[in-house]
Amino acid sequence: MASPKNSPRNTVQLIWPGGQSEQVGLITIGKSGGAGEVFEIESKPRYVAKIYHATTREAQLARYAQKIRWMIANKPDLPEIPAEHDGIVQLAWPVALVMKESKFAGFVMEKIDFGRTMELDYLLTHRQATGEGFEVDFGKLVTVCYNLASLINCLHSNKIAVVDLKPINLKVYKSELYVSILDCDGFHIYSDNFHSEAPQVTPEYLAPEFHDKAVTHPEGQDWFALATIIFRLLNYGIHPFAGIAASRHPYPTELSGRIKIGLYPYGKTPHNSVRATPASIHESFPDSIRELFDRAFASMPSGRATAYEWATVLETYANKSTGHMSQCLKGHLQFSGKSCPTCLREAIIQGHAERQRRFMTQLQATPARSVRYSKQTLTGTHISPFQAALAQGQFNLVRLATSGSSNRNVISFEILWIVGLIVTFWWVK
Amino acid sequence: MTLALAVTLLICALLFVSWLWRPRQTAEPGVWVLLIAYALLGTWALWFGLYSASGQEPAGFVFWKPTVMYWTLSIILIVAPLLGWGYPVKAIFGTYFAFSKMQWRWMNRGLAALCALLGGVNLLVAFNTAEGNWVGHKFSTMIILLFLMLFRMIFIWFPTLTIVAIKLYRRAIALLP
Repeated sequence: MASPKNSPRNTVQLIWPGGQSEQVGLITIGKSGGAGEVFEIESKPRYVAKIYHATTREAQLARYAQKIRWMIANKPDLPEIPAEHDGIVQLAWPVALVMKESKFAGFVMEKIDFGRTMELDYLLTHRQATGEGFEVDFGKLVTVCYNLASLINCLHSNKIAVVDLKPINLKVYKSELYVSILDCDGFHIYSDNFHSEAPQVTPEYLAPEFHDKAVTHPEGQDWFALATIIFRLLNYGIHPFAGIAASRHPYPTELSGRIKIGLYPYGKTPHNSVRATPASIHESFPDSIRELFDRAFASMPSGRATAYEWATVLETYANKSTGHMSQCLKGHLQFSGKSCPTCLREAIIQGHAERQRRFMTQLQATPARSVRYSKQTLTGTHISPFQAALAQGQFNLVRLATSGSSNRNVISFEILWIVGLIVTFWWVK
Repeated sequence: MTLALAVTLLICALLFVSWLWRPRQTAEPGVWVLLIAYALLGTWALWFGLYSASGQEPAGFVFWKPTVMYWTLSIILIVAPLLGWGYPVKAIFGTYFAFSKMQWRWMNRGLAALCALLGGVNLLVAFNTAEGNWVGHKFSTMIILLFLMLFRMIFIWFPTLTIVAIKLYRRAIALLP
């Protein structure tokens, strides 16, 4: 495989906001998406360039150009980052145009340091996060949730919505816990002087009112996706619409189908048709957070919690000075006044493992026990009087009738009995 | 062959074997009434469960189904002794047990009362609580079937099999030089 340094070299022209331009070479790094390919830029290590695919139609390219020009001129105000945290990029926002033979070809954006960050997806599986050198605790998770909610709130204040908000498009700084959003050129913009829609959506994060139709309220869509991501982050990756069917109604196999008909099992009031996944630790969330989840998933779209509300509530838990998070006896961080989510999860997993181990032990011991029981029956050496009585057919509690029935008569009767049982089951079910 | 046909053929084959190997002594009329009632219920379940298109079973009847079964059973259990047709409970628990007539009478009454109660509770739950609760209640009553099954396994199948195994063992020992 060719190293990036040896890859073919493209020369393009960059046009910066002040109008100054320069010729640079692009280095292939093998990162290609649906709309374009990302390149490193020679002599500009802090930036990367996204070049739209050559197959993009002229009209589409013109729309991209218009959107990117607006974005370069209107960078949103983002949550402030303390000076000691240098080099944090919260948005892969366009900062310059890329021209090829005087024609628009793509844009330049700040480079997100992949060494300092990891995909937010990894936080959904704590083992995976640990593998990335990130020790997960609920304090860090709440901080990540807060930073994400703040970022989304800032975008909304600037009349910009993400729409296709999902963990795979998000990066987390492992030390600083700030969140970065990728694929900014796909955002929905609804400012007074410019409008551009985002056609891309992901069904597992799509609000119920937008299934099978266009996203007409992009902020509402972001609030739903934000709540879904926060729920998953705080609940070991469990999706808020993952549950166990508890009624005779058909239960959609896909999450999108469950979102569409509102099968949310983790509400403060239990759902009639679906039960929570046994591994869920939602009971250890504080009431203020559970209320926001209920409003996001179990109420009308008009009552959905906004990014601002999420940021306000989460800030109280992310801020150590409030004392809203405390340590359990084992030293895990927990929401004050609630059971420890880490201990609860460990107990669930341990209980499951213990049951599995006990079952396997019993299963392994079954052949030996069967042989021993048969031997005791045949030699008449049962230790238990109950088993002895059973084996000899001398049960004193219930006297058996002296029957002249043959084995065939018995089988005939038992067949009728089993058919009767099946009919009963069929009717009661 | 469709699944519906396969299930029907299997049940018919089992019933045929049961008919061929039936005990030749006269059965009490109460047992026949019970058998006819179950044959009708079974045919209904087989038809609407396997053959007819979905939605053809009367809407709303689903809530009544457990009650229909419990109350049918209860009526048979109550009426049969009054008409001198014996105690159908014997057919349910099995004729393997030597109980006195009075014991059978009280077992018959007890089962009739239990079925009447279950049928009534089903209607109460179905029409006064959320559907999810009714579904939960319906399945929880199925535990009774499990008990019946366990009862039969412990008292009839298992000892019978053990005794057969002992007989076979003794025969095998006797054949040894």
